[in-house]
Amino acid sequence: MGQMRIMGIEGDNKMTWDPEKLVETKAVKKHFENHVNNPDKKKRFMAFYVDKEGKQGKKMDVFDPKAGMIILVPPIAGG
Amino acid sequence: MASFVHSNINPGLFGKIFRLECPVDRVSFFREFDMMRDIYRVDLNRMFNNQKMKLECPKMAITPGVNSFRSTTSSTSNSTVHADTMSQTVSATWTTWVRDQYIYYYDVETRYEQNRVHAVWSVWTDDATRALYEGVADEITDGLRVSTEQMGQAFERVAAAGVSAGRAMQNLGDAVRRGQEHRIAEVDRITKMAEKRNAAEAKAKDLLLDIIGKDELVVYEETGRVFVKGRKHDYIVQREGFIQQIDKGKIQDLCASINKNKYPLTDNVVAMKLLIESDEDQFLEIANKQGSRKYDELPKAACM
Repeated sequence: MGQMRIMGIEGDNKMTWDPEKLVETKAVKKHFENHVNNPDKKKRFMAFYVDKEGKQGKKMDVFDPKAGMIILVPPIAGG
Repeated sequence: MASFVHSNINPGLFGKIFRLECPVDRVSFFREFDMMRDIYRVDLNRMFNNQKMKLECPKMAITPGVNSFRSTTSSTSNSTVHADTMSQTVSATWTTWVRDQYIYYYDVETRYEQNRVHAVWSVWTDDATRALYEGVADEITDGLRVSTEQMGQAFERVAAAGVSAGRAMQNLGDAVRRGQEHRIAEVDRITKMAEKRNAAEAKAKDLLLDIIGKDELVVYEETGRVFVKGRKHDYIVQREGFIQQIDKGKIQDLCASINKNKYPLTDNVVAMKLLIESDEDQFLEIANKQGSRKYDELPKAACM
């Protein structure tokens, strides 16, 4: 089972899907695309995935249904 | 002794004076009668004042009537005079004047109004004094009209001021009530916002738990810090405060974050950790350098 966590005002919104089921995968992919490829750069999220072994975060630009846990992070800015 | 009923003079005392000093001839009697009339005039003034008080009252209750008046009289049969036994009759009636009179009053429902009414002036007098008091009555009526009008205008001003003050008090009360309602609503809003923020923070900690594990989350909850290892440098990401870049005995403060006002603080820690681990160069490009300092011992932080 894949898992995508989209950070939000009320905490992260969790989406799960079965990679074998195309409909579920397409729905999650649509959410991924909407956030990561948002036409407005100021609203564009960054996507990371965390492998279960090392739990090291890795950046991803294209949706991978077989990634362990995808985390969508809102725009980061310097202070 | 009916004439003394309205008089302020003690009839017994007056009788004594009358017997001692009044001559017994007819002329002296009428002189005495004039004096009585003078005294009676005082009484009439009191009656006028009573009528004036009634006129000032919105509800007038004047009941004029016609009556006969048996005055104290005298006879000159001999030199012995007793006021009690004098029997000469002088006719007197209730003499009434009717004039147009403006009455001012203030009513709660109808507000200030001016009505023209007939003012009825009645005095208990004989024909001889009627003419005299008729002029007095006119004078008093005129004076009363002016004073009543002034009183009515004063009532109007007081009423207007009262209405204005009432409105001001009502407005003040409304403002206080609105302020209290606003304050209650604001406290309620802040409470709900805090509850939402706490719930969001709890979810963010769940996410961090999935990344760093239960043991390290305990340390994070204690310290509010996470140790992150990048390819070039090591970092301490804090829930509140700068990101500390550790470099050869020196700490460099860096500032980069997601919108902390909008998102949970722990989500910011997760975001910084992921970015540093995956793309440190991009992180360093985004982050702004703040102050730097030397350190002897690194602060405690959760690490993987």
